[in-house]
Amino acid sequence: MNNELLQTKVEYTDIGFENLASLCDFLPAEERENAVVGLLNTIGWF
Amino acid sequence: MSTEQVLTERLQLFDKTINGEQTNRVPTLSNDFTWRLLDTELDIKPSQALREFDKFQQITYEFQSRYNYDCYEMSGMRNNFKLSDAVGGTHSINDETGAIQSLDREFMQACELEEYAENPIKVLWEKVAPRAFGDATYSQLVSAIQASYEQYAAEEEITTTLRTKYGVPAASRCSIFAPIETLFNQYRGIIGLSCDMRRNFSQVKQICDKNKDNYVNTYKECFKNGHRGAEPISVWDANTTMLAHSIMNAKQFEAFYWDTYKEMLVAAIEQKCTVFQFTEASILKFADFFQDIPQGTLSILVEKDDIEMIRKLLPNITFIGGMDVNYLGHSSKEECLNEAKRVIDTLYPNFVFSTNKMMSFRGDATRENLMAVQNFVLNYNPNEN
Repeated sequence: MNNELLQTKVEYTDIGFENLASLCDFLPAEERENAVVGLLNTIGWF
Repeated sequence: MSTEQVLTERLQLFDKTINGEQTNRVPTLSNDFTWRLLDTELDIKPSQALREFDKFQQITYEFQSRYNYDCYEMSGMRNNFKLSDAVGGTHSINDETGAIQSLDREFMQACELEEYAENPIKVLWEKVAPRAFGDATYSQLVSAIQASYEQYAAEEEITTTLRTKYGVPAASRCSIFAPIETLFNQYRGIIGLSCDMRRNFSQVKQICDKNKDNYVNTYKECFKNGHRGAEPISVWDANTTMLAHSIMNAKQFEAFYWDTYKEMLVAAIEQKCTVFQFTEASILKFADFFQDIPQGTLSILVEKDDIEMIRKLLPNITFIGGMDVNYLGHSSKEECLNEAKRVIDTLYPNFVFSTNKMMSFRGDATRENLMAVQNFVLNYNPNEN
C-alpha cells in the first residue's frame, strides 16, 4: 500500500478514482473498482 | 427437535401463511432496530454495538434466545456507523433513548439530474462524493470501504448463526433499492425529491427508466430457479423497502414507482416466487395498484396504516404487523395479551404477527410485555378460537 498517497487528500478526478481503487489492495484486483462504486452507492445511506 | 427441523417447520409455517392456508399458529417477525440494543443485559451501549460488529452480534443472539422470533425483518445493522465515522458522518446516537439523528442532506443538485441519468458513476464521483466526503484523505475512504466489507461479513455471520444455531431463516435472499428510492434516500433527500417530482418530472422519470432494467434483472436473476432457489434458507425470495412513496401522490407513484415495481412483481409471479415489502408511512391511497397480485406472492409489512382496513381492501396480500407498540410499551401484560389475541383473531389467516412500527426507543416495549406476547403468539392456535 502506498502510505504517502494514503495521507493525501482525495482528488475527485479520473486519476483520483484509479488511485482509490489501487489502494484497495486488500481486495482482488478485479473487485477494486466495484468497491469504489459500492462506496459511492452508499452515499447518503450511512 | 433439531435446529434443522425447527428451520424447516418455520419455513413451512411461513409458506402456508403466505398462501393463505390454515396453520396451528401464526408466525412472528421481529421489526426492531435499536430497541434490541436497549434491552440487552450485556454491558454494551447502543453507540458501541452500532460500531463494533461483534458486539451487535452478541446482542442479537441474546435477543433471539430471549424472544424466539421466527424471522427478522432486519437481523443485522441498518446503517454502517463505522463507515460514517471514517468519513466524518453526521450521525448522533443517544445511548439513553436509542434515538439516532442524521441530517437530511442534498448530496446531488437538481441541475445534475440529467447528467446523472446519462453517467451516474461520473456524477457520483466528481460531484456527489466531494459533498459527502469533503477533504477526506484516501486513507479515510479506504477505511470506509473496509468498513463496508466488515459489515457484509458480520451480517452474513449473523444470518448464518441465526439459521444454524437457532433455526431462524433469513427474511429474503435478494434485495436492492428501486431507482426512485436511491434518489429519495440517498442523493436528493426528502425536500429535494419532493421538488424534483414537480419541477423536473421528465429527468426523474428518465433516471427511473434508465435504471429499471438493472433493478428488474437483479430480481429476475434471483427468481430464475424458482421459490427459494437451490437453498431453502430464507422465508421470502425478494425483499424491497418502500419509503419514497411517502411523499408521492397516485400519479407520481404510478410514474416513478409502480412502473418499475410491477415488472419485478410480474417476474416473481412468473417464477412462483415471493416478495417481502417493508413499508414506511401509509400505502392505503395506493391500494388499487396491488389488487390484482395473486395470493401467495406479496407480503406487506405496514406501519402507519390501519392494518384491518387495508386487509379488507387487499385480501390477496399477506399482511405483517398488527401489534401496536403503545400497548407493548405502556400497557399492562394482560392488556397486551388481550390485544395480541384480538389482532390474531381479526387478521388470521394470511397474517404474520409483528409490531406496527420498527421498535427503536425505550418506550416501544417493556421486556415483560414483549416476552409475554411472544410466548402467547408462539403457543396460540387461532383455529381453536
